[in-house]
Amino acid sequence: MKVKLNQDLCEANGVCVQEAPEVFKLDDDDVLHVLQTAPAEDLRAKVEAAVRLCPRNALTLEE
Amino acid sequence: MVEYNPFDWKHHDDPYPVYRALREEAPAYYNPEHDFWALSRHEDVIAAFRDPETYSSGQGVTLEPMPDDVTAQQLASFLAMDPPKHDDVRGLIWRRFTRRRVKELEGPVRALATLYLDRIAGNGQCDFIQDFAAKVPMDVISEMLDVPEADRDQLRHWADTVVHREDLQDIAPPAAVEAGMNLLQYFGAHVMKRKAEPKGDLVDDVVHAQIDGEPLNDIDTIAVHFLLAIAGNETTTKLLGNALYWLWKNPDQRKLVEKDPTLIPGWVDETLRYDASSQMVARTLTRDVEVHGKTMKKGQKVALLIGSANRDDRVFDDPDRFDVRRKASATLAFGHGTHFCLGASLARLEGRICLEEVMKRIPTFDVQPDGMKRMYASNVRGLSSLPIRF
Repeated sequence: MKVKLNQDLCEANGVCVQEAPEVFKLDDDDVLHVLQTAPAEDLRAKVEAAVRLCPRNALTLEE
Repeated sequence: MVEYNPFDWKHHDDPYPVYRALREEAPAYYNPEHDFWALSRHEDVIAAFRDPETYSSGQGVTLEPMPDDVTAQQLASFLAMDPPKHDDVRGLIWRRFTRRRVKELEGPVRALATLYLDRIAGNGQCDFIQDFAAKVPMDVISEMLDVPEADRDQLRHWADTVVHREDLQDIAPPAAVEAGMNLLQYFGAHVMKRKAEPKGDLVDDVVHAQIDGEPLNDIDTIAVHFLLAIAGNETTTKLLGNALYWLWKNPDQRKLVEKDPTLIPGWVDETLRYDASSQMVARTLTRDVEVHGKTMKKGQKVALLIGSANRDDRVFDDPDRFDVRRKASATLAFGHGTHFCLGASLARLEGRICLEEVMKRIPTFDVQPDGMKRMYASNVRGLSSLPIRF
């Protein structure tokens, strides 16, 4: 699975960081970073929740 | 058979049993009297939010029809627009509401909170809504909109009147229409004045805005002000009142917050989940949609029940428990997707700072339930009066 971030939509609400801190990080300037663009399979549930709950639909998942 | 009627004042005393019955018995509910559908499960509400092409905001986001001669966009600006125009107009002012930008307001918001709390701290009692919760948010948004101090009480009165509904009435009462007109007129004059007086603020961003090389017309310019004056005010006031009430109602949670103030942001978010200020937003269907074996027809309105989605046990464990330590990231209190609340970070900041100062300055507050009064609207939930002693 591959995580894609649309930086234009992201508004740094940090929901993904709560759902999957292994994969997402907000820096001090509130810019979101995807730490692992191809996370391991055991993180799937967390990453799917992050994608589903992103308030701005800024994340997508590709297989 | 479950009935959901947001125009019935009785419904607002405790809407949550009705929501539960809707989720279990009628997840695609139709109200024949008022001709609208309601979606109540978290997954259905979020799916609708994700699909603005089908669930349009263009006819406004309330179930009530607009008064004659007024369009939804005239009052609700980008709240009542679909992409791409929605994105263009929201985008004009977004930079003023980013998390980073909002953090800079921490000092000014705290100064306002302490100002009003200092005024009442020696009195031993107050109306938490009228004396505090209604004041701070109006001041914060007024500073952003450059509304002079002398005008703010009048504006707040008009804003309260605009959202008020009479029992069992599914249209805006004449007083609400009149207050709306007064607000439009006020901001009309305000915008004209500010066109000639640049100050480098949010108002400039709107009055001198260009979208694709075209200036924003006066109607749209005024509408942005109208929307912010109401949205920046009503729901945050209700958030503060609901937060204080539910902490008082749950002494175990109050002990936790008293012991550990870092739980205050959790208190804010749990209030927004448990008893959201914005309970429902409406959409209008652009095509027929099949859901749970029912066909919702093109042109019909659909109520998206945020207040119900936030209590869905498919998503939240023990959802009827008020728990300030809960992970509430699935909350739909601020909506979801394109229309996600522009002021979410600001509302959370105001909530946190106001409640921090409350816990410092009047920590012994005791609610006097006999004097409590609820405000009535089909979509906004909260109190108009919350007497406390301390």
